Amino acid sequence: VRTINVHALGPSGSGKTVFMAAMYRQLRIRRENTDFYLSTDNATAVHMNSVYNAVANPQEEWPSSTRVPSEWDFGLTVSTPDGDFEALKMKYLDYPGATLTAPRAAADEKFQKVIEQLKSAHALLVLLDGAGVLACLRGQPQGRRFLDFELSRSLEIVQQNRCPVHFVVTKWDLLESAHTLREVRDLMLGDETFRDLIRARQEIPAGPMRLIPVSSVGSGFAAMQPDGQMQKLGQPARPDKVHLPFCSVLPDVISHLYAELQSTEQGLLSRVQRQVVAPRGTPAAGQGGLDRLKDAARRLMASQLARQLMDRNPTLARLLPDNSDDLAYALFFIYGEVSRRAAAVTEKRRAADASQVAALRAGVHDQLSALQLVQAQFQEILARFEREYPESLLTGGPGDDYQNGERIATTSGGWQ
Amino acid sequence: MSVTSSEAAMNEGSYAWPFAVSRNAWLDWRPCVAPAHMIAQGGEYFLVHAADPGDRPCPSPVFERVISTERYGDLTVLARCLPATADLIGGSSHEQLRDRAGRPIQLIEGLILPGHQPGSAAGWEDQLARAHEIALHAFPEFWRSEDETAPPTPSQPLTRPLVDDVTADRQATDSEPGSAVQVGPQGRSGVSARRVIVSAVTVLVGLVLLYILIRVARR
Repeated sequence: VRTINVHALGPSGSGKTVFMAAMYRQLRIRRENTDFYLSTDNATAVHMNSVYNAVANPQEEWPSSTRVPSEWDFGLTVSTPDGDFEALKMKYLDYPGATLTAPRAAADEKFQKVIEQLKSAHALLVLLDGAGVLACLRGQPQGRRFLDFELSRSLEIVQQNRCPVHFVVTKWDLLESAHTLREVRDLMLGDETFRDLIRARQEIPAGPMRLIPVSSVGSGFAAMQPDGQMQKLGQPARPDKVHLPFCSVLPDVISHLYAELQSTEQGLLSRVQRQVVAPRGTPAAGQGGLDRLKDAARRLMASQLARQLMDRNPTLARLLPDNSDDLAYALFFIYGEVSRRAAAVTEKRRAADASQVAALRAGVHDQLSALQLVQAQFQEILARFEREYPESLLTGGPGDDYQNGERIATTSGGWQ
Repeated sequence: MSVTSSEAAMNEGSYAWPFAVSRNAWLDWRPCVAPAHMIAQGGEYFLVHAADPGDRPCPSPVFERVISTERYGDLTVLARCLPATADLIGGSSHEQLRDRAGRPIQLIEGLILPGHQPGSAAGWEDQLARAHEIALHAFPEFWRSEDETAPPTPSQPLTRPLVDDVTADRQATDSEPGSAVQVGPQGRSGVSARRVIVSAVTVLVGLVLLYILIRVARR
């Protein structure tokens, strides 16, 4: 089981710790219409639950801000009548805000090692403080501090990575009654640095970028005081959309893998795509001579493609299987998922996807089939979200494609 | 007593530098008091994680941690966590200070000792009190600062008095009406070498007298 590394960045007060706890709280139980849940070790579970309990209890203080970097390991498990199968591992690295804003922290040995780990990120989670966004929309001075200073280092790190980036607008409960996600998107794209970052991303093979609104406590739980402090109001907490950043990771890492493979050697990828037409499990015994020859060619090309990817992006290449047969199948899987995502979404297509999920659910018997099922369910969840918020996709929407460094298609959701 | 940092570092066990770590409404966690030589080298930030109280309740008793650093080698951290209340900035001790998001702030203060010195907390009680005073003095300016680049207040090494002096000081303090000296939970040994010798001689003389009495009684 491969591990996907997600690095969470955000200045102090952006809500990283509370978001992580709310996300775990939401995903630790198998929810309606899904077959997966999140598991972790006992110490992490106790920590996450105690943080969230403190948040949700109106009588308790908000948890103190993070002083030290933390790593959280999660297993994504599919539950079936025949047993549970771990489809994927996810490691979240939570950076204290000071690593991004305090110049004297930059000289620290431990923080330098943590920043060095950014090279191993498969996805970046950049938390945009909803209170800062609100101040920007209202034209308040704190808004300028948020855009010009607090966000600055996170955007530099995004520039230096090609992996998927999820800009998560926290404290959405403060914004939702007066502002839309489109207004937030327009605000962010109105900032020259942010706009140029998005533009540069569209010219290279890279993972998608999304803008995702979340509320770790839900509407009516807390209100912002005139001094900016958040005060609990005594209502129960109802986390909103906190699962979406997690569900976006796997589909977007697959899109990134495809974009990188596409830029290795065009002809080679096309030949692999033509050859790799059958899922793994096609019996080798009894194959004709021509089929065996095709099978050998398929493995050879898949290995060659993986070697090229290793040269270009070793972090990403390490997510692919080592075994040549599994590798060929992984390429088939990636190609299939990207093609499916690029196809037009119609009612007929939705029905077909739903029946595919039902078929996958019935057939889960190992880690790979479990991975296929969660990927299909993540795609369904994302498709629903994108229909509601098409502006959430900043780059890398369905239909986006790159050829020789040139963007050749756009979507209504992409940056215009 | 004034000593240079390098002199102090040579005398492991005798010197310790006060430090304090906190945050204010805008600036994130950072040292607000740190050893002068570490500030000069730009290496004081490690105190934030070296003295992190973790899940300990706040206020906490003094906790001890031995850490290894590339730049300064092994160091022993003696620290405690206190809630940062408004009396630190001239307000009420009942008012909790908070950051701009409304989260409570703590003041983590203590001493940093060169080398590997486990079990040394009890010997530094007086200097921990001095470190508290230094932190109180530095905090108001730290609270007002919005400068991300501002260095912490530099601290000079404090010396540990000889054990006999500590005992003598403590006896003198105990004799003052209304004063209270708290002894750490580890049960710091306030027993001097002189007292041990006197006790041993007394026991020996007692045994000799007992022996003579027994011999006389048998006759």
